[in-house]
Amino acid sequence: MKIICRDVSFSYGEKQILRGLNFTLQPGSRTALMGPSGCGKTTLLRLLAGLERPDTGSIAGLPPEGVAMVFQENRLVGQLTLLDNLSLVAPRRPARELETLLLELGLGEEAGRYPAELSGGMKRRAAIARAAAFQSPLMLLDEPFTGLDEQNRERAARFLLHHARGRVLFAVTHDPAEARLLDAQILQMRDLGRNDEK
Amino acid sequence: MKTSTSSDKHPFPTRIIVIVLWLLLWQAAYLAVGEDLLLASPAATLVRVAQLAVSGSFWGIIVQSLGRILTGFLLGLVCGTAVAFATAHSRWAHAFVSLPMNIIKATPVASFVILALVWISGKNLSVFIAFLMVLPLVWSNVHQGIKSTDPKLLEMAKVFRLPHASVLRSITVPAALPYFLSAARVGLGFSWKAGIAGEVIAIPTAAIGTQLYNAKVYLETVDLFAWTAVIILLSVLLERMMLVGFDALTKRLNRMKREVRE
Repeated sequence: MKIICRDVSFSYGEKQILRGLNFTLQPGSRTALMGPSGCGKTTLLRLLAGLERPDTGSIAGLPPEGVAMVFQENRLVGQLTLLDNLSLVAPRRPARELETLLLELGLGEEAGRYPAELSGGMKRRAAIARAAAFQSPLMLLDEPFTGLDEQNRERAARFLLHHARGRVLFAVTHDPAEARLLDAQILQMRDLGRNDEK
Repeated sequence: MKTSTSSDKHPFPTRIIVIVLWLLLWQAAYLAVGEDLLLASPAATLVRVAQLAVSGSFWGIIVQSLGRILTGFLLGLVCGTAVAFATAHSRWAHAFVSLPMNIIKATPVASFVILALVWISGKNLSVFIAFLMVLPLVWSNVHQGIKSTDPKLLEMAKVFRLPHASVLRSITVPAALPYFLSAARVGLGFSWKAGIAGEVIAIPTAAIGTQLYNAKVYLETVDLFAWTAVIILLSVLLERMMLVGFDALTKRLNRMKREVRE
């Protein structure tokens, strides 16, 4: 599935956040979007996730079945165990498959525990596992490795590379090393806006 | 809504000492007044409660009053919750419902009782009064609970296209549940007391409120104190039973979730 952004602009009230963005995400591509804080990276993710609509322009090719996303915050449901959090977004997948996803991220023992009982790094990995559990052709990652140590960062990257195979992976990050871990093409935010000016 | 928490509770010995001190004060007041018609003694009240408990009609009266008031209470819980969910996502619907709810909250129980006597029988009046006491309370609390749902979780649900039933079960209901429980706990006390007050005015046969009324009419002060003690005891008992029930329900739900998973 190809995702095409054409001349996308977006404002919060009077403040223009995005102006004239043009880019295409090819099926199976991996892209890391970089840029200074406040330049609109997360806003662009929200547009791709369908949480906001562009003021002008269009985004074509967004999957109607929803988007697999790792948010800036973990956004796990506190009343549900990790396994139930995964099952919530992927109710048709057998529990064994979901447990395997948690196991791959070193959370095999924590499947029956609640988010409040876990460390920040564990919750982050659970949020990544949840995105992998949801079968959508588009995976959006907002600073996916926040709070992970070196070892878990590499493990999570390998996990994402494996489970994002065949999907469009679009990540926002500050760190070029993270983009390399994801074997992603780096896009600078400023370049997206200039495309239409060329 | 603020309710008492475990930190407000005093140790058991402290509570016993406090009760004994108040009973002593009551006895002292009784001795100071020296007139059984104005103030019954703790001992006479206790003896009368025991006499009532072994009398034939006592338990029937309690069962009937309890049955009617609990019916109204449960109806209020169900309707208040349903209306809260129905009006949660529409500002207009909320505004439309909030007017009568606020009027119900502000209207004295006696006004409703007298008005309702025109429409319904005295026997069923306490059902209606208990219902009215709990309805706006549950509605406003559950509404507040729904509104307190984490918007970030709702966004997550939108991105992952979760079905409405899943959002309700896993996100909205857990957010609203503490507010519902708090309203139920407070509402039970409200509806119990208002239901009895309704019975005092409507005087149905076989009702606690009717016994209070008769005690007043026949100047049976000991009976008045005894029935009041029964009302207080039942109120405490009901609240305890409800808390135990909610606790058991929560544990059962958690256990069911675990069993389904395994």
